[in-house]
Amino acid sequence: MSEQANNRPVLVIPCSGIGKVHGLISREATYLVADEMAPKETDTLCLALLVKRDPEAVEAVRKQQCITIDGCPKACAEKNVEMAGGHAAKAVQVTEAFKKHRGAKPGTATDLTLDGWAIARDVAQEVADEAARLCREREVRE
Amino acid sequence: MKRAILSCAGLDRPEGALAREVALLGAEATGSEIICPVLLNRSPARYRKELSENALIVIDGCATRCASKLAAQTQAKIERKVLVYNDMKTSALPIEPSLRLGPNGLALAQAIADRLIKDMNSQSAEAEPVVSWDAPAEFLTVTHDKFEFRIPAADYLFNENDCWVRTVNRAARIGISDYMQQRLTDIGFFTPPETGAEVEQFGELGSVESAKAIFEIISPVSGTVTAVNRAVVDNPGLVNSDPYGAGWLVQVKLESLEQDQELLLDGAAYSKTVKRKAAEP
Amino acid sequence: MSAEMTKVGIVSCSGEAIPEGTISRLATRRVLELLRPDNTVTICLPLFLAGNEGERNFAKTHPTITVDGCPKQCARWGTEQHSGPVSGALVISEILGTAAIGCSRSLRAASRPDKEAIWTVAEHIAAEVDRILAEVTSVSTGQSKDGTECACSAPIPGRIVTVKGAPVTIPGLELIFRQCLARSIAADSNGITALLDAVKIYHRILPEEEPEYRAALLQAYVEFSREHGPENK
Repeated sequence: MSEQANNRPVLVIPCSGIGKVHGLISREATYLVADEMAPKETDTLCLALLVKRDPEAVEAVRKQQCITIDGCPKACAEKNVEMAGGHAAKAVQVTEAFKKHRGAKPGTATDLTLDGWAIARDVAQEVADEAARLCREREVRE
Repeated sequence: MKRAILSCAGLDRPEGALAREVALLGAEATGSEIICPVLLNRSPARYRKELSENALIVIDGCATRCASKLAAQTQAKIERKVLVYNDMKTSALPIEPSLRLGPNGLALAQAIADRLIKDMNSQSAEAEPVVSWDAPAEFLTVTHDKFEFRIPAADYLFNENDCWVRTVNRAARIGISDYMQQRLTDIGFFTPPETGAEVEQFGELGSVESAKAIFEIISPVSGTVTAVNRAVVDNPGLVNSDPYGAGWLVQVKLESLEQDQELLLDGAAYSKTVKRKAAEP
Repeated sequence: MSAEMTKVGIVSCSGEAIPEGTISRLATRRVLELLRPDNTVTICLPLFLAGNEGERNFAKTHPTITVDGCPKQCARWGTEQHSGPVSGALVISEILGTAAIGCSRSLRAASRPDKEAIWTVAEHIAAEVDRILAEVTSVSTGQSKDGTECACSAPIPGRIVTVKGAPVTIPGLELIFRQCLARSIAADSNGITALLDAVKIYHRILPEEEPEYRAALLQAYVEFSREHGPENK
């Protein structure tokens, strides 16, 4: 990876599926990481721009490390990053996080309950930890 | 009865070597087909004929149970499962901690194989024929807004509670319909019934759970639970991706299908039910 | 065809990088849940772009609005690419202008400006839905010798097709054909499947009658395309 790319943040890309609460959790987890837990190490990018093959978006995923957060096994975010020529260093699925919160009532595709925010935080922590690990590896390589 | 033997491919521990040795001894003694787990995983079609014609003996080395998980995806009739790790723990002889079996390991493999061969040979001539659960070939489709709900055109019966049953001889498999799995969205948990439990028609057969709801599985038939789909316990998403095939939930031995059928719907009738339910606010 | 029977699809960009993307998503959900629950369906853009047939077929056979956060208009691009021309296209940065300043990407930080912005956009979307439904209704007030009547006695332009040798009037078929032509839906087996699904909303077809209806609709659509296709304008 080039010295210029080493300074670039890790891109966290959610699926933001509008039909299910999982999509909202993927989105809010992304903001927890990029705005609160790891603001220096991470940033996000519009998935729709990537699918549209916007040149800046495509260049970003090819040059920067990516972590995807998908609401369900259809894995739209992970697939589209790969199709744009990028690589998801970690591909998180919100449905896996649900398995640790049996019985939770997370809310709807419009709003999250406290359960839903707890799941979003779990997902965000997993992503933030991975982003920190990726940044540490980069530093070691320099 | 003809058999096929599937053993795990564990290369990194003695249990794997033990499982393999048991499989080879069993195959030599009984003339059974050996199934390669790597090839089965890579190209399942390669063994379709062997698995449809033979009952399957599954031999796992350790509690990860890779061979069992692989077998569950094939929908083959599993006659018996062996977990050699249990024999290792209780063996009077200490098993050599080596990836190649030593004298004690070989002796234990022979003992396990002898027991397995005796069980296989003692199967009665009137054992039940191998049951093949082929995937549905044709579907009816009900469309509502952007949603498409599939219903097998033949061989599946439904109750009003959106559970299906498919019967082969006296065995029946039960699952939930495509309509219901779409309503529930991503299923995270399957709580199965106890094997051996008796169930009346419209009794409860465990539940599946998603972020939206817990759905009680209402049995379309009466009978005795003979198996639950462990693959779904480990990976509940199978119900979403293949509700009529790999996502089956419970297998029962039927009590009185002729009587139960009177209260069940065929595919065409269930399509109308789905159309009505989908249109409800 | 009555406005009550028509559903309008809404495709939101849900762009993650800017607050307008969050506003597009939440305003769309507000229309779906509160403002026009009986007449709207949301289409998931990632699934739509990934090839989900249900989402794409709906957009092909129903009027569809796109709601984009910024002028790049990814939702509009995706819909036109995979389903055909849209019936309406809103851009939030153009609707809100400087009112989007101070809005948040995340629900956690949502405050009064966010809520006002979401309502403003939701009302724009609802107005767009109403405009489309009014067009649908206004078509139905035209005279047509093949027309039938809605329950409210308004004439609905239908079209007669021949099924099993007998003439059958299908309500709304004229408008369905126009929409399909506008979306460049081909007169082939895939296109007819989408067309048949739209017809079934307004006209009962038994499963055993489907093959004959398919053939009749295919023939009628081919004729309609010859009469009204772009090469005839």
